[in-house]
Amino acid sequence: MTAFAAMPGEPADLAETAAAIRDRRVTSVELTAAALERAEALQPTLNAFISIEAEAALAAAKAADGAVSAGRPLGPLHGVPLAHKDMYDRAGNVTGCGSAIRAGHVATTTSTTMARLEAAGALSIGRLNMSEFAMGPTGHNAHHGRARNPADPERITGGSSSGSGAAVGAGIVRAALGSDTGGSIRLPAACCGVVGIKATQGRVSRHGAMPLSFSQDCVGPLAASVADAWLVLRLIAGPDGLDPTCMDASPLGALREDLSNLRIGLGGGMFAEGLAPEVAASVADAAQALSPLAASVAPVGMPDLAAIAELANVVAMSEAAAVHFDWLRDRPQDYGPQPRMRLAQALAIPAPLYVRALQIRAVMLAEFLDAVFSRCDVLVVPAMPFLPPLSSEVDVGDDPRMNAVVSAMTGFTRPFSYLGLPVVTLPGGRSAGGLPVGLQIVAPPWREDLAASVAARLERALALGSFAGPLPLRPAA
Amino acid sequence: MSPDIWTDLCRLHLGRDPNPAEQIAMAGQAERAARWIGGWSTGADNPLFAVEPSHWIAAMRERAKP
Repeated sequence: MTAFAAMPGEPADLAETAAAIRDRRVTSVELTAAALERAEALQPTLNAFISIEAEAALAAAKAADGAVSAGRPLGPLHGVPLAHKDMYDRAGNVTGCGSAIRAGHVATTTSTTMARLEAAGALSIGRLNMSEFAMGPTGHNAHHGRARNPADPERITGGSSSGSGAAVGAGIVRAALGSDTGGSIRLPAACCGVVGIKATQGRVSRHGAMPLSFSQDCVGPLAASVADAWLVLRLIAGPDGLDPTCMDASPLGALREDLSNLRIGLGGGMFAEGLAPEVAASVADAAQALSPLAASVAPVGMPDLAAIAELANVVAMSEAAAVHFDWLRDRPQDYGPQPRMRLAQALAIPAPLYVRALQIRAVMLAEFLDAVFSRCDVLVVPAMPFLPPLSSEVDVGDDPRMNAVVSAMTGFTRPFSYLGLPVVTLPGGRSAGGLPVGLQIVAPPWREDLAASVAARLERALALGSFAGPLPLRPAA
Repeated sequence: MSPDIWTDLCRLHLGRDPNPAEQIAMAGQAERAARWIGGWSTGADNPLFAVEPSHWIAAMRERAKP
């Protein structure tokens, strides 16, 4: 299976899709029915959804078309079908968190991000597959089965936002919410050949989103293009009285075309060692593509990021064990083997070490900003050192290889979770066999605009093609 | 720390004895955590002596100002 190219004359991105609905070139019902048809057709192959909600989606689409006909004010995503990771509360709907323990949980409130997308007019066609409780960088799930990679179903989607990567990569929807605690947006984006944004820690509200690690959880989009991801991020970002950790930062504006005053850093150290040839080639291609656009493109030395990755794990798993403390005691049999083992071993992290890992965070951030962002404005590094693995290679459950697999998958992503930095992941190339290679564009705190601007220009320069699915359009009335 | 500590932890937190795989994994987790974080403890020169977790939040808030 390959990614799907957009048909001539079809909207190029989410904004144009919404414009097509507004202009009555297509109805929301037509778009939603097409997305549902594609979702149903691909479900046996991709297993991207935990639940496809056709009836509710079509009812919402019909209402959206009614609003167009009535001339009511329309939001920037009015009538556009999306789908989201199974961890965002919507009042009256199930939020299962990819688990057995929460499988029938009906939410009583709506998460801030879902409320903001609904206010923008978007509708949802279903709940997307994910690693159980968002613990699992490979995307395996003992309860629902793994989502499969649209580029090669034998390969992993990456996790934990596995269904989000698969659904966007297969062109079922143009955007989907994921979440990222150690790489859970960036790894599926990289494996499935789509764009993902993990914003600065504190940029997006977590209210109503399943908690895993309150110090590192980030809500964000996976999308078919940088423009799509940027639009969704702008809609969901911003302070929220329901999440005191959500900060009042400078707003996210338009992306810049001119990169001529930007210094692009190419990550050295572990980011340049032991890479698969295709990954190294993608970094080189990105450097070549950016060279004529930027003030400079040059290698930048790195602090000890392996240590930072380990600190990220200490923080994430200590906090996850606290979240799961009661279920771990009362319902251990209801966890899949890998999440249960990871949580059980987190109990052995002494409290002083967890606190110390949080203390070191401020020191590490200062050191990293001084060492790296004094010499460049954005940093380009791979999302993973290898191509998306075969499922069989990394389906290790709780056996003794578990920690090694988790560390190998997240070694390039976790450090930026711990530091709290914004990262845009985008396709940087493909192997001869068509497997995607993901790159991370990392920026200083609150400078998502720099990372996304570079990503957008790189996306255009590399011209890897659209991953959007076909849309049923007719000429403007 | 001895394996008995993992047994105590499991009994304390989970109300049961750990299985052998959990004992190994828990020991490994704590050892890795101690190795990385313990390296920061340098007695009187401990650079974390006056650092709190809230300092990271303060640093991020400072940079968030428009």
